[in-house]
Amino acid sequence: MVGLGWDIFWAVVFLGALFVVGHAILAARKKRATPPPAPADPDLAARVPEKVTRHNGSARISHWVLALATLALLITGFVPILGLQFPWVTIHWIAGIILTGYLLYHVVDTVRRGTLGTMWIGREEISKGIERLKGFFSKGQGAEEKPGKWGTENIAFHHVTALAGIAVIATGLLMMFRVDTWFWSANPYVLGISDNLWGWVYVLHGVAAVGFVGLLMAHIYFAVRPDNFWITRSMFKGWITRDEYLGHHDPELWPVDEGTGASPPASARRTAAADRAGD
Amino acid sequence: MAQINDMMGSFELFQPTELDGAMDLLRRHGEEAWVLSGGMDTFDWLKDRAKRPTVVVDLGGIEELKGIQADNRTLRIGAMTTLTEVANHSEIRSRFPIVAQSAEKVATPQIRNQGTLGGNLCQDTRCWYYRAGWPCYRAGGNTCYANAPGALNREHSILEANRCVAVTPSDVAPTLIALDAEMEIRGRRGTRRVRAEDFFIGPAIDITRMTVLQPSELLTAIHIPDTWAGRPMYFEKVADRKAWDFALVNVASALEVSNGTIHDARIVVGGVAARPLRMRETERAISGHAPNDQTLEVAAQAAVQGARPLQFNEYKVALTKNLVKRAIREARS
Repeated sequence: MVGLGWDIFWAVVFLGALFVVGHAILAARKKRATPPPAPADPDLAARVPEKVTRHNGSARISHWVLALATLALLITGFVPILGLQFPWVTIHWIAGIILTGYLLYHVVDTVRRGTLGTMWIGREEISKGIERLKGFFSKGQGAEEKPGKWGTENIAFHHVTALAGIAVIATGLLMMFRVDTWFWSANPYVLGISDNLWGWVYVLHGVAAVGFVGLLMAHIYFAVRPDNFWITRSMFKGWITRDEYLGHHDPELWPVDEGTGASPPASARRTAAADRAGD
Repeated sequence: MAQINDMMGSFELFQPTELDGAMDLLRRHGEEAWVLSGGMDTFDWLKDRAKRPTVVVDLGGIEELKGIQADNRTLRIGAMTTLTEVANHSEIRSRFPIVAQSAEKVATPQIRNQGTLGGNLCQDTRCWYYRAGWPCYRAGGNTCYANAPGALNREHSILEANRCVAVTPSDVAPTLIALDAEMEIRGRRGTRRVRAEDFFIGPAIDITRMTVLQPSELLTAIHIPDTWAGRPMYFEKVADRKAWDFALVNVASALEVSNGTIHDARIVVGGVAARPLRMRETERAISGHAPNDQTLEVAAQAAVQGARPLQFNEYKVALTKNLVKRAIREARS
């Protein structure tokens, strides 16, 4: 075993395209069946500022760094396989280092801000996710459970991407020992890994990489959908409007500061959640 | 691993008599097709079963790929012209002697009688791990067996290694690059010309190929412009044997010298990397200088800048330096 057969790349592209087309058709049908949202409670609206911060500056910068690194990795990894030849190895491992740096920053930043819990998928999130999924597939309006800042589908996407990212980084770092870099000369035997295990490393790297192709297709599709434009815009400008906030999110699950529109610190959110639970 | 059966696997043999017919076959069979020119390299691959094409397209019957045409400005050599014809052609011997000399240094008279210029330029590397069918990078795997502790890498690269350490085996290629030749390539979208220097690619670009040729493309001719005709030039090949051997290192040079000063130069070295390397730093280092000992020393140092010899080929660094010096000092009109 020496690596992944790259025909799988085309299988993933096909499945990704199938998902995009299928979702677009279902979403269009759903839109026709859904009446315009009811106006928000005026009292509640009065307590929400005109602009609500969805992504702060560091989150936006790190997202775009991640996006550039991922694009560079996918282009340098797959374009030569598709036939356009260029010296790709150095760009590839440098982009890989940037991706690794991003991952470390993201983990440290999340722990520092205490927001690890917002990505938790428990029973409640699963049942809400199922309800939203049922609503999407139902012919009628369906029950629309508003999520907090992140819906179950966002969290699931994050976790699948994280899994693929960790796999591609871990295997990629091992593979770096087999090429000349600024840090060391290539030495395929430095870690004493058997040829068979190296085969698995290459296969896992390939699986995670083609997985990224499918994930990126889905991510870009959702980003360019007109009904998601407000989210995409927030990744550039940082904020969403009051109407978008109240229309798409549950203020109880995602409370924001009345003055600045920013999310309160994690400790404050925990207190608010405890209050709601009657603790 | 290769199975040494001394018997080729079965394939469908096509023997077109026109170039269009050959192109059609290559288009139809794509990567399944193997192009057979002189057959001097092909049958090793097929008998060892290291390559298993289902279709072989023999170009031997296509007359339009053979022959040498010369005019005042350029010399066109058909890709299926034999190395003996190239070595003996009077125009080549007088205007571009290093091309004749390099063709004359290939293998043996019998092989030169059958082997073609196109075949010599497009032949695959001689790395024995790769040729023996080991699943190395070049064969689509994930390891270079020649760059392992204790590996037999005396003949391998000292420059531009990128995972794979195989070297270019052609003797004629460095001379064509030195003379600013162009390769005529026929493909799906018609004919294109590529500078000889750009025709060969290293593993950083594509680890599984040695030239820019795609599966459905053919090298049809080589064009040598008159730019360097009559100027001082030099070719030398160093091999373990005087005949029937591949170069450990070979060198080709062409110089423009007046009033004892080098004004322009081409220095190309083969056998040190996966492609014949044009030594641009060396060319820059000697331009504007007299070919004295000091210039030669600077040129030699520049030629091996960044060299990273393997366990058993450190000698190639010294050999390359000396050959580069000689290619400048001994260049003759």
